Amino acid sequence: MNVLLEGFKFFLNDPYTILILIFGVFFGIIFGCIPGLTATLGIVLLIPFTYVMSAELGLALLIGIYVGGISGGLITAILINIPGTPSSMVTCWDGYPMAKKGLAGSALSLGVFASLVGGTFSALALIFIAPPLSKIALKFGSWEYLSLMLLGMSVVIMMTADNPLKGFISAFIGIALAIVGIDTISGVSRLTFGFWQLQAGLEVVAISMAFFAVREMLVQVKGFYLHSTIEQRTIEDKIPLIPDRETLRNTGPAFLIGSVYGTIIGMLPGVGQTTAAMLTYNATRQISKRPDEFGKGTPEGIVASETANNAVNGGALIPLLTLGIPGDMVTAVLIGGLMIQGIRPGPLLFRTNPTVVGTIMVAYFLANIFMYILELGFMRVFVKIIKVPLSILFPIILICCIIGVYALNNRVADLWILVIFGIIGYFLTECDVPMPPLILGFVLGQMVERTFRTAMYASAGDLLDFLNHPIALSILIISVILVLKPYLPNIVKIFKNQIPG
Amino acid sequence: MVNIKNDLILGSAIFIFSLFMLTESKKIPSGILDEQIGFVASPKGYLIVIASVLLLLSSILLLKTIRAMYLNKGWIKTSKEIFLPKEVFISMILLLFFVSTLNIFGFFLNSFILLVITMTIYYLKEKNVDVNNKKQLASLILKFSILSIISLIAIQQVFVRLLNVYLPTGILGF
Repeated sequence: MNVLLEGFKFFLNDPYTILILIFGVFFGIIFGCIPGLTATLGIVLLIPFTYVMSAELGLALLIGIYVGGISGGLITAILINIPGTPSSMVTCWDGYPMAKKGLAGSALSLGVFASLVGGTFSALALIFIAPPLSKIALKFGSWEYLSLMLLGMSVVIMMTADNPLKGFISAFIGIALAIVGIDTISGVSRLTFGFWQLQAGLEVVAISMAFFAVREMLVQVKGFYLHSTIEQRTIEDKIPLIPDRETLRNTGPAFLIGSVYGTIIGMLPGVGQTTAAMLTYNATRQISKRPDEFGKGTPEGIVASETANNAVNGGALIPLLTLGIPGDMVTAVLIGGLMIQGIRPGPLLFRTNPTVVGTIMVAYFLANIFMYILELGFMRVFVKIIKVPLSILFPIILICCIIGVYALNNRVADLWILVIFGIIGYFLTECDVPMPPLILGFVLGQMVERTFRTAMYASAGDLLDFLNHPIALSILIISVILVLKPYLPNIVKIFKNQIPG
Repeated sequence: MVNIKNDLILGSAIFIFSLFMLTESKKIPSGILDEQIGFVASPKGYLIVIASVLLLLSSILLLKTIRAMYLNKGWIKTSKEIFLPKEVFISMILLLFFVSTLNIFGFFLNSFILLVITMTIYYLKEKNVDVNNKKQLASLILKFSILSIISLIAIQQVFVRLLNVYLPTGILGF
């Protein structure tokens, strides 16, 4: 509590910090909503500016970008089916169908509200129960991580229910792409086909922008032939600033699941927003009264995704502050920002730099509120994107994607990946191959292989060591049940038919 | 809806890709980490497993497609007749041109070409503008050129000057 008071005291004594925080959130939203530019890139680009600031001021700026950047991704995800950041890709599944129904404003306001709820929940967790929560993260070893990844994979499998064969092909193409590059453990090159440029592997941002932005642009351009896109892009006359009571009642479980899942998953290093959003989406669909509406524009889908990916932010700050371990890619960059200021994150930070810890907590809490106010305030501006002709919007977005992907490593090779896989994505779409399993296969494939390898190393190649890990085993059983659930009635029927009499 | 032609192309492409993967796996020396972590978790074993699954899946798709062809005595015509419209093809060529000449012509010039051409051809199609009306076409190109230059100057100011992002300048030096 003393730490929190120190933080509040700092903000009250230096109102300039609030302005910096608001600027950070605004900058983050802009970066988040432009496909290709991510929260991580925003923080990397602004870190040099923090050299001349005090530690507290610099951190307020970076946390503002973090919160704004992750939330801002929902804007283009909903309006044009291109996620601003990879973490918002799950939002596309229901956000864009809602926008196509003429409910873009409602979808946006619901998404922004869900971001606020998720962010605030994790902020409260960060403020009040950070130390005990961080102990959960310590209980997770390689097998537990692997089972969590497999749980994510089970969602991928469930997504393929409409066309299982092509869905599986899509997921395994993603997993295969994740193998490209030098294997981090053995040091051997795999699937590089002799190109040294591929040895570092394929960038997640380049791949996700290829399959979501470049492919989507090409597909929509093709759509100019088939129908008049302009006529379908309508918005409501009156945009609700907060969701109505009925929507809130229907989406209540999604808010709760997203907040809890997001915060816990955020604490687990390397798992990230996309996995959290996906697991929440799946869990919400499992308990929903209208599971068939998922993917067709249900508010529950947007809430699940946005609550979870924003709750991850606060969750990721918990191990950062209490253990000195980053929870995701952005907090890994934040650690760099802390170290530049001569601050070493970890358990001692609470004693040595209470003001810094308090500032981070208060900044994160306030950033969520500012994010909500700014996004609602600019809602009418955002919604106008829908009125811009796609013929003008797409080329400009493409240029932004190119800059974002190039700026990651200053490599033209990343742009080749963006373009080539964008074109491949177009042809895959032509062949009715769904894209989400491919992206999720790619994101999870990297983590599955790494954790599987580490776990096997730790157990000296004994796969049965898995049975000694109750948390891992429980999660695996849940995954199996989730995969089999749609087929359970048929399996039961087969068994019943086999029993004589 | 079944589209036999597309499925046959897809199945064949994935089949060839998985064979490539298997060939590539042969380049990895056998035995690396096999003893410590088992074959499936080894860099070679994992690759072989994924390639084999893809090979299996593509084989199933090919067999299903060939069976459908046999039952329907040829291709099934579907609504998905347009496979690669002119505008999409031009976009792909432009993108490949952009990346391959980025270091030569630089970001500004390449982006200008990409923006003006894509905006013009997309707009013509989206709004059903008469291409034969030369005056209208010229005014559109002028409009998009101005819009592109303004957008690119704004982007350059923000990213290069303010945020210190390096973008290739090319032989023209900007």
